[in-house]
Amino acid sequence: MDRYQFLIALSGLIFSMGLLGVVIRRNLLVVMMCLEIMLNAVVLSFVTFAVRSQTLHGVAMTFFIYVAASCEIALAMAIVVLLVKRRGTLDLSAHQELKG
Amino acid sequence: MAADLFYALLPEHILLALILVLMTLEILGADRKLANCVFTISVAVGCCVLLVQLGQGHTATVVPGEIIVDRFALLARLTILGCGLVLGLCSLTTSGTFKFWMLLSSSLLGGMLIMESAGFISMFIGIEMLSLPAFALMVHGCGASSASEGAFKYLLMSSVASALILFGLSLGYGATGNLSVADFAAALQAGGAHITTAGIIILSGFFLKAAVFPFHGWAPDAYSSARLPVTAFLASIIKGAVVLGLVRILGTLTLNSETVAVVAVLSVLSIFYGNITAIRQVAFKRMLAYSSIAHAGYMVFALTDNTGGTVEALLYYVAVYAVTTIVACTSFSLLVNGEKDDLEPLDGAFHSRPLPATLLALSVLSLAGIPPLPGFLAKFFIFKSVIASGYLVPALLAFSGSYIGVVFYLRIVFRLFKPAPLPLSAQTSPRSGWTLGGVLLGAMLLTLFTLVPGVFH
Repeated sequence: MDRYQFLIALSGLIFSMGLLGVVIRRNLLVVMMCLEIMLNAVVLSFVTFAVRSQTLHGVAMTFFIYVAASCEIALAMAIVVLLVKRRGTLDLSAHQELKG
Repeated sequence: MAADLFYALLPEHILLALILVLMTLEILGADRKLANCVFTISVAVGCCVLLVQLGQGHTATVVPGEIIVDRFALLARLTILGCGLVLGLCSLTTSGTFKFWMLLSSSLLGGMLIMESAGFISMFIGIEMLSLPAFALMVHGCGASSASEGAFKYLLMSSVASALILFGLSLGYGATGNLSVADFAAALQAGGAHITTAGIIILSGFFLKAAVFPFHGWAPDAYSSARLPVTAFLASIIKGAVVLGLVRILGTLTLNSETVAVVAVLSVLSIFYGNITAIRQVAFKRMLAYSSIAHAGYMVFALTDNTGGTVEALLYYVAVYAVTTIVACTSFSLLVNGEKDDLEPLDGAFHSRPLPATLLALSVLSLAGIPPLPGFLAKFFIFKSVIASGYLVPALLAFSGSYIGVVFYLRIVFRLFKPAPLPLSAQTSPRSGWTLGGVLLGAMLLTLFTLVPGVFH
């Protein structure tokens, strides 16, 4: 296994850990952190492929990913503040008024 | 080059200018009416520019490898912007604040960016710009209500979808060595384990954003907690833009048989699930959400077509579906006066307010796919091309599933035409002139779609 394969496997592992966290964790802030972990795994994979193929597209993409991620987290925090104002807790299961 | 950059992207420049002007006007504390006026005029001018460019057959490579303007880009942007205009007119008096218009215009701008992207960087920016303002629109003006819960669910699912799309893109980048949409599509066509994995991850991200069956969980909550114009926006423009973005990637491609099997199974399940669950619903917005899951199923179903008619069939379907949904939502809000969500106020509404009631009845019948309404033609094109591609059994299943939906659409029509239970007081909502104008514009567009079904060919 060369180092590129190792890095791609690592990013896949981190991505799945983040996805698992989004699914099973019940704290609003931890769920958002798991989302960020997923995005960071994606960045690792982009950078690895960029180094392997010696092109710059993947590196350019990482900047846009960070911009989008920070916009997302800014909006998410505003909504989390609204949720906490309403129920006074960060527990996701307290916010289950709507039933799919 | 510079002139090209200006003219080919003129609608985007107009929208950007609109956002800046609205920001300035809000800082100066201008009148709300001015904002309504500025928004309507700018979006209408943008539509006219696109129509002129379409008439000229204008094509341009604006940023090589990232942004190209071709026929599909023109038609799809016209669809998005036209729906934006109809929605804007419909919600002119009810929710026309500066922030609402700013968020709506940035979302429209994102949707238009998706349609003209030839590289995945601009497509990713477009997707994020399309959905980020939508979360803000959902909580805007609602305070700490259940809207924030719906918005959080939508934000979470949409971000997971973005992360999935990005992960798929990074795998595709590893296989092709660049981020061009055409190269990715060509590699997907050629096949291989690596690129197929990437394709399936990207596809599931898009399905999550469009609320296709196993990924639909967020849609009913998000739709039912938002205000009615925002629900109309989520169900029409955002869903349409996501599906058209998928067309931008896969439009001219023949999918391999495994992918076709997955897509066909998911879309048939989506049609059945959406239509059957909608029967149980008693609230309008929730019913609309399940019906939109079924409609996402029809749209995705068109991707299995391999006769090359996917692009036209889906453009027609998305345009018809989006305008119909906006018309249905707006005439419903005209009938119930405000934010009530249950179906009781519709009883006998035809006798007190015939025009909105007729429009609501016609638009839900069109959503159900009753001939000769445009919704039937849209479904007909999709089923025709899928059957022509040789997938008779899935098409028959989807077709029978689609007529389960008639049950709950007809329930609304029956309610509307019931004999009036009480001598109704004349329920005229204040200042509904513009709203009615928007609904009539939508109805005119739908008539046009019915009379000229080949409008996108």
